[in-house]
Amino acid sequence: MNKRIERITLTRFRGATTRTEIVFDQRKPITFIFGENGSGKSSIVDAIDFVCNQAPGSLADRSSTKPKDHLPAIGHKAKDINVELVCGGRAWSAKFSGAKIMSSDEATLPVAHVLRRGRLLTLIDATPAERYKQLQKFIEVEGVEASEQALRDATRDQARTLDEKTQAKFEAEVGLERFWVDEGAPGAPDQNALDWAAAQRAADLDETRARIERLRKLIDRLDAAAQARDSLSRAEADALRKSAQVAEARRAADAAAGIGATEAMRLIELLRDARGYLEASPDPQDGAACPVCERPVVAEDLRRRIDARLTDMTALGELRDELEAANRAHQNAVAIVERDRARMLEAARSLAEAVGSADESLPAALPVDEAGLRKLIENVLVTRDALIARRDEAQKSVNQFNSINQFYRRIIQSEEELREAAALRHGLERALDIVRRERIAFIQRVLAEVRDETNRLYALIHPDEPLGLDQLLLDENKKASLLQICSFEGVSDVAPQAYFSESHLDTLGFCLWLAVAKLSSGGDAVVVLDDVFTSVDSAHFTRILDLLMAECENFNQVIITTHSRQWRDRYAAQQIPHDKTAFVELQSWTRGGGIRASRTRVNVEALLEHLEASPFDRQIVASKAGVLAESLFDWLTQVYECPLPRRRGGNYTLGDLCNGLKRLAKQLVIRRPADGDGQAIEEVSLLSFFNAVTELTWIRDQVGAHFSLRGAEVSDADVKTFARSVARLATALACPRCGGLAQKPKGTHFACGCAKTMMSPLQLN
Amino acid sequence: MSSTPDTRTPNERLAEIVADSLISAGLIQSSGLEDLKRKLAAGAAKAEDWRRWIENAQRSSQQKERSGDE
Repeated sequence: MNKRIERITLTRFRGATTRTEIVFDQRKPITFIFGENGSGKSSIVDAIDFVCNQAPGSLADRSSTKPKDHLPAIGHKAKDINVELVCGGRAWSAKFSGAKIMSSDEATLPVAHVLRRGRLLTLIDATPAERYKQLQKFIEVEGVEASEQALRDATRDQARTLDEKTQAKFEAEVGLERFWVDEGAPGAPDQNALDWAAAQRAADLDETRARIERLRKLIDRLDAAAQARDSLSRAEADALRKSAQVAEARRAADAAAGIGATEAMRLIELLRDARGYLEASPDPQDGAACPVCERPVVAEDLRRRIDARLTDMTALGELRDELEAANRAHQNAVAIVERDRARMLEAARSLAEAVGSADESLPAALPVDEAGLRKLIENVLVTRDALIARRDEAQKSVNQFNSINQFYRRIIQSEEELREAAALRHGLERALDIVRRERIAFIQRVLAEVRDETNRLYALIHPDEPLGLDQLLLDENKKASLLQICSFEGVSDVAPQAYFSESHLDTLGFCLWLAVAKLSSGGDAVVVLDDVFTSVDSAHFTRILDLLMAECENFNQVIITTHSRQWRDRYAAQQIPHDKTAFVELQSWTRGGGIRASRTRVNVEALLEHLEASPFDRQIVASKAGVLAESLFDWLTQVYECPLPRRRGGNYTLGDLCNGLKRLAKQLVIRRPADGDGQAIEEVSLLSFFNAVTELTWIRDQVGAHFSLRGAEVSDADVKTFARSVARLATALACPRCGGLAQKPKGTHFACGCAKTMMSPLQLN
Repeated sequence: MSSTPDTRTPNERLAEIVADSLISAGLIQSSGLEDLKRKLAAGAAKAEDWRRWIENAQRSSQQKERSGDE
């Protein structure tokens, strides 16, 4: 698909004070935009940069400018800007969003590389870091670099992990060593701590662990028995106290009643029963028989007497309650004594059992009665501290074994982990080394390609000149630094800035930039050269032109702006092949009119238009015909090095040129396609064409250039004949296919840009 | 100078070269080549990816050695 820019529309962007549309010829890979300084060329280039690269263009290189403030056309704001670009049938637009340039459908933007004249020297005359920055987007492999950085991080992390594991192993070794030394370094010097630990691991600690368990059980049971014994003692003492309290309560009750306490109690009970009877039968008939004594009673009197007697007996009753409470407490205490005794006996028997199986040199004969069991508890309690010491000692040896075992396992496990960690680190380091080397080698290869291509392009412009770029090198000691080494007159390793002329530095910078753009774009880019070619002499003009004609094949499109009229005039004179080039011409800029563009017409086309124009302007036609004839003759005399009068300043009249061409005119033959498909060739001898022109050249002077009464006598028909003769000669010389003149030496003839039209001879005979 | 333009980005071209070199050196297994190249070029290869790729290759190599010993 054709991915050439078809048109770009600038609205209130830089010089475009009015809406400006620049249309590009889709059939031509190269478009020249010609305009004098200040006509708007850079505005158009900046607009392409604005859309395709979301960049402020040439303003980026200028100090004291802010894109948001200075990209809008004079009198307008950033929000007023809009740039639309159509490329390959698709449209994109760009505008400001705040201070940021935003393009539509950013992901699919056309690739455009822009080179400005100001940057040419920067490419060569820059620090290595600045040079790298200039070429960065062409050689940057930031994705791989980011992945390489992650690999570097992984390698560093793994080194840290390895250090930590090494430290852990060292600490385990130190710990084990300490045990070994504490034990007197057994086996030294033949054995080390690890050998010792390995042997220790084989030791059977089952018996020690069983003894610890037995001792723990014995001590637990001893403590339980002692506790039960103490509980029993406390219960017995409590029961004795309670018994004494019962006796005391009984004595008090007896003393209060004057009778035996037991009898007094019985009387109180009888009186309470009687009152209870009367309350249950609240209204017995007077004179009824008493149920106790069977004598007649008056119920009310009897009730009153009972209450009086019971009132008298209250104190005695309270004493009776206290006695009952004391009796109950004593009975409970006795029950607790019995319970605790049973517990003590059980605990003591359990202790006896533990003593029997402890094998700790304790009493061998085990008693069965309470006294014997109490004695056993006493005897074993005496040895309690010793038993605890034995248990702790045994536990200590088990703990030490566990620690040695733990250190030993940690050391052995660390060795395995260290092996794996070291292998991974080694792998990561090797991978990092490979990635780094391949990246540097890749960029060096790219740079070598760039260097070779730069030199090739440079040699096309400056053949046989001992200048060139020897090396482009990434500085391995610095990030993002690009070194350049040139040779001059056989001396290598020189800085080009010191020996090259400015125009040579320009050419070198241009070739370097073009080489990088070509190699990095893969053919899918638009290249924009903003006023890169300034003063170019005739020889270099042709070479640069040839280079552009050849290199445009490597890009979607090449757009060249220039303020040099030489390019425009050569285009108009068909000295630039038209099959590959189009020309847009900018008029002088005005604030009201903004940027105004028009298509540049070739001279013969303009002449024919004026010939057909009505009213007929004889002066313009005569003048244009004369200038066209002069440009053709000037070109031919240069191509064939025709003899001309030597004049200071090298200015020749039309008459000089006509005379100089007399010999050539007799020999000049054009062979060119006679039909559309180029199969048939026609051969045209140009002598008659020359004669027709040279006979009438005086019309140019008398009608087209000067005021002359003789000129007034020349008829319009003669002026038209002169103009048509010149147009016929121009048409005969130009290739019908590419529109260019045959000016490139090729074998026995000169060839045009498309090589279909040939002009011979090669040299004037 | 190649006559056919290579339309891959510099990142993609370098990623392919790096991936091939790592596989040739036995540091990475060829089974994950496309994933490796894609991540390399996009700058998406993380530290854990690198550890996994290299550990997998080492593990595979050890397994082959062991099966060879048997």
